Amino acid sequence: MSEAEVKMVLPENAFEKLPEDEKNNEFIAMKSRSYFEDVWFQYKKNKLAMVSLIFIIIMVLMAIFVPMFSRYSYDAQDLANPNALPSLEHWFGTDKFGRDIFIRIMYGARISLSVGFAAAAINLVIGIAWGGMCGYIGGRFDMILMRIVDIIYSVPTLLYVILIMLIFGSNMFSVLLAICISSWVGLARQVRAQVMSQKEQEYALAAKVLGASDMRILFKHLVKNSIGPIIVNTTLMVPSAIFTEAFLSFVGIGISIPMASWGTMANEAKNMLFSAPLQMVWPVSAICLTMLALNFIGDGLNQALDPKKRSR
Amino acid sequence: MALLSVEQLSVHAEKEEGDIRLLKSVSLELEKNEWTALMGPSGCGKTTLANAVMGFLKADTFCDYGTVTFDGIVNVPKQFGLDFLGSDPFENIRGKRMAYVMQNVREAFDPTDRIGAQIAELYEEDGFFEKRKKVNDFLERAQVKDPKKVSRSSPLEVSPGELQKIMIMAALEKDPELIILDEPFSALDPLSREQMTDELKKHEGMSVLLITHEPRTAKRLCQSILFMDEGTVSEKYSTAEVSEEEMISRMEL
Repeated sequence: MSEAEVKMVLPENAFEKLPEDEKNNEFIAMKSRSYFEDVWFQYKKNKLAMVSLIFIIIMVLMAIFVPMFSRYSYDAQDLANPNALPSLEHWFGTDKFGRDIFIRIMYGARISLSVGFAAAAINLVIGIAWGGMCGYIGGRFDMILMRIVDIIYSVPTLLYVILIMLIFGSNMFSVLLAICISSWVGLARQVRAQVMSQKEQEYALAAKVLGASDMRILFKHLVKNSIGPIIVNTTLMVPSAIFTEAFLSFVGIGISIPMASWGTMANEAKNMLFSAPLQMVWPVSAICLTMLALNFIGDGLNQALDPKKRSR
Repeated sequence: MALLSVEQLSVHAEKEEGDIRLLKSVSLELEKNEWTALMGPSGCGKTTLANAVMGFLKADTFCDYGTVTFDGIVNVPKQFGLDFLGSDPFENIRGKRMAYVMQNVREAFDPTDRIGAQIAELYEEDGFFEKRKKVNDFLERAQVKDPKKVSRSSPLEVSPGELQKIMIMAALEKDPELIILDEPFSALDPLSREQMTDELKKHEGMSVLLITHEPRTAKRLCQSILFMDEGTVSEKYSTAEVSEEEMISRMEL
């Protein structure tokens, strides 16, 4: 076929010039996001987790600011007005000494949340350092350190807790110490397993052959790459620490009265269970809602951080 | 004296089915300023040898016998991590006097970190702005398309060819005396290969161990050639005396 014939086949208007605004239509690209931006993007999609996060943030803000500006204090008694029902004056009513329950719940939130977050933070630091070193160095060093972990793990938690409470007395420091001394071992084990599998990845070797130091490889790369399960585990540690504190206070060996913690409030309310059941409802629902919210947050993070569980 | 000498290196892996011998008494020598090709069929132990020369073994892999000597410094390859307590003779050499470009280039980058941040690790001692400028210069020299965008991207978003260029340039950054290249051009187009070869040639006096499957590349770049088969390394031939056909046949063993 000659050139002229080919030209004949194509009509004049076979091709059209693309309008200016359609030029990039076939360009498919997503905005480049860093790892944590991506996690946040995924997390935002989970409604329940978002609501829980907002709930916890409001709770934290209220726990900080409400006691500052309230005219009541957690231990001011008003014996003329005991066991009052909720009113505009006392939103959640008063207890048997006439103390405002709302403000006591807020003080309780201070204690519970700070115990929860502090315990999680301490566990995170110890767990990453211990587990990371074990996983990275391996060999006999790992063997010895992990046997120590096994020994700590094999003694019942309640035993430590009660012993520590007896020695250091009932205060926040000893509650924290009691919670932390046994709960970091789980995290350490997890970090160790993660680091052991991550250090077999090529990028660890690549960083090493380019002359990066062991510390940098371990904490900047290996731990960062296994951060997903670590964050989830740490988040779930907050409610379990809050629960332990509430439980200890409820049985009377945690925070000591007149300090208000949700556990001590539930403890005091149990004598009034039949005459004033609302007094039990407040602290218990505070514990429940906080636990639920934190668990949902952990769940949401779990989904956002694990690429396999993502719903695209 | 040779720059690098491997003496009777024997390595085995412990698997559930039993032990597998990966390297069987491998000995080789590399002279200064010598380009040597290492060829052999897939799975014959080329990458294991390259790792072992750098001083590393994978998990469940053990060195039974033999040493790697670099410029008089003797090392026995160990599993990654066991050298933590400062007993690693190559600790201060690696990345400075000897460099290594790995085969799986995509996996050689940390997937959670931006490329710019990972390049910045080469310039640990510099300040923030100094680092940023150096990373930019680096990417310009590596001749990647759109350096600014690459610097901000995650390694999963960049093409393997670009990553290979970055890896080769990173290995050359500290002006090493020995570089091991494990199929460094596999994802590069002909023009980029030319660029990278030029970059490698700029470093005069550098010894190169080039693992490749391409007879033409081996013939064009290297003076000598080693053949590897099932964990054993042949004696050194001059590339001039081996035909391309023979190279292909030895890779199909």
